[in-house]
Amino acid sequence: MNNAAAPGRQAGIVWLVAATCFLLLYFAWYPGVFTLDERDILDQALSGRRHDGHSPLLVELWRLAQPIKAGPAIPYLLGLGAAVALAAALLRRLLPSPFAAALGLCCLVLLPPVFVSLGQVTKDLFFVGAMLAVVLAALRYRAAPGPLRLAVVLATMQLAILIRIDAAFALFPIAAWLAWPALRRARAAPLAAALAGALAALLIVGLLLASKLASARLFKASAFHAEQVMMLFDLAAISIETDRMLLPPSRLGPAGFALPLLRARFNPASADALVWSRDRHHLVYAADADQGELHAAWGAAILAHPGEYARFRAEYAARFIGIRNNADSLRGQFFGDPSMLAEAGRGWRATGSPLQQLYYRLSNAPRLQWLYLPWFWLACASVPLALGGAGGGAAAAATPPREVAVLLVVSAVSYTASMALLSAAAIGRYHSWPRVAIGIALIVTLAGLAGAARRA
Amino acid sequence: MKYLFHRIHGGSFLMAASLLAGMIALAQCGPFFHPWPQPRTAAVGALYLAGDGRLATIAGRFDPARAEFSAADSEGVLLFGPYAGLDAGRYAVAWRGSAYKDSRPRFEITSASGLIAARAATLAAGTTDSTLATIEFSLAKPADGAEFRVLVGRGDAIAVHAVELTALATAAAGAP
Repeated sequence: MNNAAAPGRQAGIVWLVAATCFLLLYFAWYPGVFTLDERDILDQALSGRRHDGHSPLLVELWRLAQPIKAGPAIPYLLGLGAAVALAAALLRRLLPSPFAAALGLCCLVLLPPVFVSLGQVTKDLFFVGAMLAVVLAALRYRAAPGPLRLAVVLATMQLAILIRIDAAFALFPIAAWLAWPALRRARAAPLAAALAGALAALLIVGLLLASKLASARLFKASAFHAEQVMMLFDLAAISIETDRMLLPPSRLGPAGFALPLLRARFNPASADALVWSRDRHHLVYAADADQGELHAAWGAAILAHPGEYARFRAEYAARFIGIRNNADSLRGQFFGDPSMLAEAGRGWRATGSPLQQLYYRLSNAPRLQWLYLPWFWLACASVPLALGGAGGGAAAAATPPREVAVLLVVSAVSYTASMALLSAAAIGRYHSWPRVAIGIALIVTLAGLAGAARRA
Repeated sequence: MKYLFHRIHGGSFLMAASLLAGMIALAQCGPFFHPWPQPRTAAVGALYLAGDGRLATIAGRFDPARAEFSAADSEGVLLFGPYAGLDAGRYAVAWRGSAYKDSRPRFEITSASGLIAARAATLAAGTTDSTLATIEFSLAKPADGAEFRVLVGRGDAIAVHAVELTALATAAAGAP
């Protein structure tokens, strides 16, 4: 908020550094790490048959890009370009000088876990960009509220939800923060907080409904019921703990899935071995399966065995943030999916630049592995959280950077906590937004501390 | 330091402390999920199949049509894995497969902390689709990375298609 009037030449350094960072990242990771999810997005784009298991908006983007250049290069260009440019814009707004913003951006993108997160041409990368756009729009709205700025905030929030439906959890604190000043003016703090929470929840539900409607009507995507995998995972865990098969028979697959087989393959950190197994034994995760039966079985199992469910989810939460789990897939995904190589004849290729190899070696160095684990980032998040929060509020004309740092951290923690409760695989890309948000919050907090210490 | 102290804000400090305390609790109070019910009044099993990604071979090869690991006239580890976590208690491991020649393989149970139990078996040619060996063992404390290995010699010709791990009953109450 304090360097908007910086002279043009000085301000230009931020964009120069942003462009350099973008080129460095793009060529280090070209054409972007491609996963099985993107394979499905691409299949939908090429076949024209669409479902809402992955963002129909991204399917459309991939469809438009393929005739120009086959492969992930164009989606990666757009996703990475947006993420880097918006991070630069946010840092420029929050740090005291363009030089500080340029330095902060370099520190952010070259930090190994963030560098790795920005190498993936996944919906998580687009989600990072959308969330940064939401924060920037929210700051502009809080600085000078108006209908146009509110519309921009709502549009960016809708974009984030269209990219990842679970963006709802990252957006909730931001929506409540936006509602807070107007509500606080005339009410006591606890009532204002409750009303802000309720208003934010209503807004998020509205955006989710609009997203569903857009998927069905605008993008003509059929319902995929992506929640199935989480329900199958929970039911498998409770079945194992209670030694009673609670999965509906229709979900046990053509080759069957007896309880001893389930116990042998179950991994509290991921449902992959149950759903995408190498042999014929796999649980049925399909759009045309009986969803009502699965929902009923899941609800009944949780009601009948709440202790087992809570224990399993606590263990998954621990694994999700890297406690008792330092798997490669949690630290970072460095190489393209094998399906990418199948397209080699059409100009695709696996990633593997020298810079990427360097970061790969760093992530595998035993003494540095903790740097990539989400618990370390959450521990770092406690610094801006402990030092921020004071000030701002209804009376503030402009939002202090430390309040924005707290907002970013709360959004990251809210997203991580909800994913720990609702997801079914502890993988690194789910931590892309938390890494970027906490990274920016830390830079802003440290810059604020350094500046204040110098003044003192 | 004095400056830092003055910056700390009560409400947000409480949030930061809760976040750290929650993570410490997840680390120190777990693991929370136990695949082996405790106590057990009946045996509980886990079935590892060749080709499921949990078992692997060095000296043998995987036959996808028969879904088995086989070795003929090669020496070394025919089967290793699945690196299971086991609670303290009594267990039995059974290897299932076939012997195509008279063979004398060695069956081992190991964990991250070393060998737990082992036995050599003499298998007659023509043994098909049956239990090749069974070992019962007890663990006084939990074990990580448990493996159920099969080692073969140059003259052996056997195949393994499954390993069944059974956690034996721990509670007598209600048992016949």
